[in-house]
Amino acid sequence: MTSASAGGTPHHVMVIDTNRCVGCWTCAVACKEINNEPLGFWWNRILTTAPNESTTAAPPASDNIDVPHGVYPDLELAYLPVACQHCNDAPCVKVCPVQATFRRDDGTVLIDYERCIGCRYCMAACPYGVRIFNWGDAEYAPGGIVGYGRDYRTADGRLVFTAERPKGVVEKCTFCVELIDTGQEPFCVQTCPIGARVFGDLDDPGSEVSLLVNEGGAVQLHPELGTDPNVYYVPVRRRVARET
Amino acid sequence: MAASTASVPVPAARPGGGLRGVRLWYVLLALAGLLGVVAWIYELQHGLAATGMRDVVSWGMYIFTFAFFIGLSAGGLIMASSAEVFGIADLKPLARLGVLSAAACVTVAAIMILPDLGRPDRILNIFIHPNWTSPLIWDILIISVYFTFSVVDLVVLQRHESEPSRLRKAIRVLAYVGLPTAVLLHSVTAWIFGLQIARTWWNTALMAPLFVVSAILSGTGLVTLLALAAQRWGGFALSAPTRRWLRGFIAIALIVDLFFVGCEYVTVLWGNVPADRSALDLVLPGGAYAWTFWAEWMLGGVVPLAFLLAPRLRRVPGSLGLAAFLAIAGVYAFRIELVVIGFINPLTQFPPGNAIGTYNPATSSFELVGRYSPTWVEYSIILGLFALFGAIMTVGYRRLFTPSAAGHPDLGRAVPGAAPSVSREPGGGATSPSPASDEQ
Amino acid sequence: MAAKYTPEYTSKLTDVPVSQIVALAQTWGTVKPLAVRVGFGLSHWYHGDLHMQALLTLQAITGNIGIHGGGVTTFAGGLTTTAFDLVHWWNPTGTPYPVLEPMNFCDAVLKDDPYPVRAAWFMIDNFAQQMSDRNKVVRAMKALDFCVVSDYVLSATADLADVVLPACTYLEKTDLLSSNNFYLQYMPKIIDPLFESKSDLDAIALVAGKMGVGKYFDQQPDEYLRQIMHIGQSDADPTVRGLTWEQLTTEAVHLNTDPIPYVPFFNKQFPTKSGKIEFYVEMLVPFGQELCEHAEPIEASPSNPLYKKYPLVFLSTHTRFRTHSQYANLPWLLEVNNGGVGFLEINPADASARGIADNEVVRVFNDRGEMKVRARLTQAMKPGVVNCYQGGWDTIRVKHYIEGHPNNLTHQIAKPAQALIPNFPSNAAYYDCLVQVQPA
Repeated sequence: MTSASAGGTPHHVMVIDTNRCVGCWTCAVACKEINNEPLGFWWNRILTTAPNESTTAAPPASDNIDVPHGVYPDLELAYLPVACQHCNDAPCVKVCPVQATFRRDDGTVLIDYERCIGCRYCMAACPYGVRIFNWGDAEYAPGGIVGYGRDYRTADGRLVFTAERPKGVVEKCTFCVELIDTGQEPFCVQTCPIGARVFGDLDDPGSEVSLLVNEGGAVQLHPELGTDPNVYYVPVRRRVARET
Repeated sequence: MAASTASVPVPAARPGGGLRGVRLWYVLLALAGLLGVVAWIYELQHGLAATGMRDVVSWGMYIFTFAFFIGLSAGGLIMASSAEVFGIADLKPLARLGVLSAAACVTVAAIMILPDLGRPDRILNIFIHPNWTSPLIWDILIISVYFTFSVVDLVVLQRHESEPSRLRKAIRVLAYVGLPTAVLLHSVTAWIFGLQIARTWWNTALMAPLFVVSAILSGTGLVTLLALAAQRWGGFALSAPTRRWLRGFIAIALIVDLFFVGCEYVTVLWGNVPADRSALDLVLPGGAYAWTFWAEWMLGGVVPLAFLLAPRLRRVPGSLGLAAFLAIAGVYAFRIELVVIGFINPLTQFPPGNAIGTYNPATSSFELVGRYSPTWVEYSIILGLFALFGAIMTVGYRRLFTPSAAGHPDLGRAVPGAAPSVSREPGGGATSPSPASDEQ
Repeated sequence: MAAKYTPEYTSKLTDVPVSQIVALAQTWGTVKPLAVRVGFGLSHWYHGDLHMQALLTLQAITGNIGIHGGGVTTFAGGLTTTAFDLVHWWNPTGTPYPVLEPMNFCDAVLKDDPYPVRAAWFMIDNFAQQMSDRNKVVRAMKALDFCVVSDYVLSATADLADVVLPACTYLEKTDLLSSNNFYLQYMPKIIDPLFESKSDLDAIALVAGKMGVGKYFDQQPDEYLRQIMHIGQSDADPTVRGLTWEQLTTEAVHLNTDPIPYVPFFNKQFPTKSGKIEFYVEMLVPFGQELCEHAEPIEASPSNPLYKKYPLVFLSTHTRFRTHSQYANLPWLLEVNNGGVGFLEINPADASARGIADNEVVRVFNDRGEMKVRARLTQAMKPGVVNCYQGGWDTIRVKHYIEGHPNNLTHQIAKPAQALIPNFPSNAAYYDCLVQVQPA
């Protein structure tokens, strides 16, 4: 879980097992719910890819989701849930002119809703396309506020979550900062029906995440960029041998 | 330089309608400015959703026009400083105009950032909580320094008119400082884009050199157009040697600019890395943005080069002005292409794509490939800012360059001892009676 | 039978490679326990019963019936057929009453077969959208003298009603949930029914009152639940014996099963005439189905002469972004599901043979009806098979398909053998369907 190792600050990482992800979008909808995201906002999206496809490799098989690569019957399909990767060397943190986006000690990258000036430089800098801008007045469905429903501030008072969105600022996945700070897991981890997501302390040698990262072969997205994300993916390994 | 009134006729009245013409001009500028203000108020009410930008193409007209104006500004000062630093006497007459233009452009550029911010009311955060690793902060810094510098430079140059000998040394020092400052201004602006590892279209070491050379190209082009406008409406003449230097600057800058862009193409094409190709293929003929290719290489490349270099074409009246205008247009097309293409194919690009950030039930909330089309709000604000530039230039010119009781301003006047400058005929462009001068 | 169905013969029938058939057989024969989990898709064929018969036979032969970790299950489990004493509660005097199966409804209305039906009240159902052979269904519903529909959305069925009664959602009424597991979950009313909506129970009670039989419908849901499970009585079913109301309403209650975990048929006693599992089913002899031999699909078979005219098998499977036709109006799910707009999945080879490009509008048709929808080319479709997700709406106000609906293509051909099982409606064979596709 989210226990600090030996009393120090935990190093929070998430590991997603792409062997298990079936592309159901439950985590994406759950995220939308807990964070009261407006229509048109998806902090978390489930991308349709080929297994272990390098993210700078060949273009997708189609513009549409759920279309596999390959030629029938030799097909390849995998799903890649992508939200903020909470990079340790985040380009967004480097470029934000007012330090509204910042990396917390536990590895979570957060945005201060009260400081952001809406220049969107962070959106230009992010290689993963996970940032969303509040272009106008937010439209919600259903009509009321859902999910966590209130403001949340870090220990030093920065407003890192607010249920009703202000215009003109950027936002993104927060690792459910208001939940993990009270010992719970991010909501996507809690709601994944197939147990494809794990969250924990990378510095704790006994944690499941550290086993998956250090021995389980979990990899990062775009490792060649050096952003050093705190989100890892277990590559697809189970393949049905095709015989004729 | 001593004032010499002997060979230059005194214009009785400014041709082209005189005071009525200027008033009409001001009215047009004011209307455009008003439109811009109305559009900005609308944008403040509705948020940036009033623009054509969304989460995939998240920068648009404000940013590429910002880069454009920074380039114009830097180029103007580079040209003006180069005249002093490299001792190009025939360009020195344009120095004040270049610095005024540089000051006006950088002012407009700085203001242009405001409508692009989601929270302009928080602009002071830049000064309260600056992030020193951010190229945007570096740009704010260099813009502030540069603006101050250009105002000081203008003041000194203006004073120098009446006190030539006292400020001679100051002029030299300012030029030596101004040249690298201007280069730095546009390099830093280039680094806003060029340092971003997430955007392969931008991430090249050549970005700063490319920006600087396109700044020289567009800035010199702008000063040329302004000088020609001053000749048309301000009653002053552009000497043949000056024109030759302007031609040369523009031509060389254009050739180097195209060379740099060509190097980028070769690098991408040979390497054939899919992420790089997916951007370049949009620009090359056949791509969705091929019009920028034709605008940069043909309209803003081959055509102006022909008018600058081809022996028969460069004798055509107005060829210099045309070449300058087309070169500037080509540079603007380059800015558009730079910003927009950089966003269209994101590095992580799988279906369904990125969330858009606004909701329209008739279309998808996701976008795999970016789209961008400016709205009336963006066009209006940009038009208003162009009008602001026009207003600063017109007012500045009329205040600073009006003929004093002592004589005429130095604009277009030849250096003492050199061939007389072309004579000025009311109502038309300059003609050349002198056999030594074979170009317009 | 084993001699007839060699791997090679089976491979010819099924298009599954011989090696995979052999591997599957080896797994099935050696791994123990082995459980089979069946979705409803397997029963969307005319011979759906044969599929189940075969699976049960195979599990019986391999000794996987009546052991922990074995058996054949669909997703609906739960022992509710014994825990809920519905038969006696519903019909305490045991008076026989007619039950009309969905598959017989249209003929009853249109042809008085098996008996005339002139009025109908639809609830907990979207018959006019989800039943197969939609054109026939609409004809039948329009032929009714009087039709009432209870629903909380204006569904396709409600569109055809004479009277629409606003029903409330499950949050606005008390009920009990038990499905797919061994837990009973009491669902109390959370809020009162909104506006003028009523629960189905209340609606029935009110109508009953007006019809003079209100005294049979005068109790509240809690009371009915107590009666259905004989709470506090000694004749409660063993699965709920000893259950108190307190327990039921404060926790999720696990049914008493013997053994725990529950293993169906652990005592190897079967409700057949012989009391044993029957591989040879005597009562199916008149239907030629005493053994589970392979039989070609009634329509979707290459040996069907119709195949020459309609060479594509038409599937209408479930999308994960709806539950049948429910939740089709939720904005978030619509955002992910292509805005709710339906599409026909088709293999690129089949598409190009017909001159169909990705996203182009196509016409899907057979002798029963047609629909128009956009094509989505995908290699996920086996050549010769197309799919259009069911559950989209075709109502007066909402059209998820450009024109028509997948159920315009499906049929209501009922299999006589299936009628042998009492109270078990014969399935509608949605997938056993042939169509042709062309550009619209």
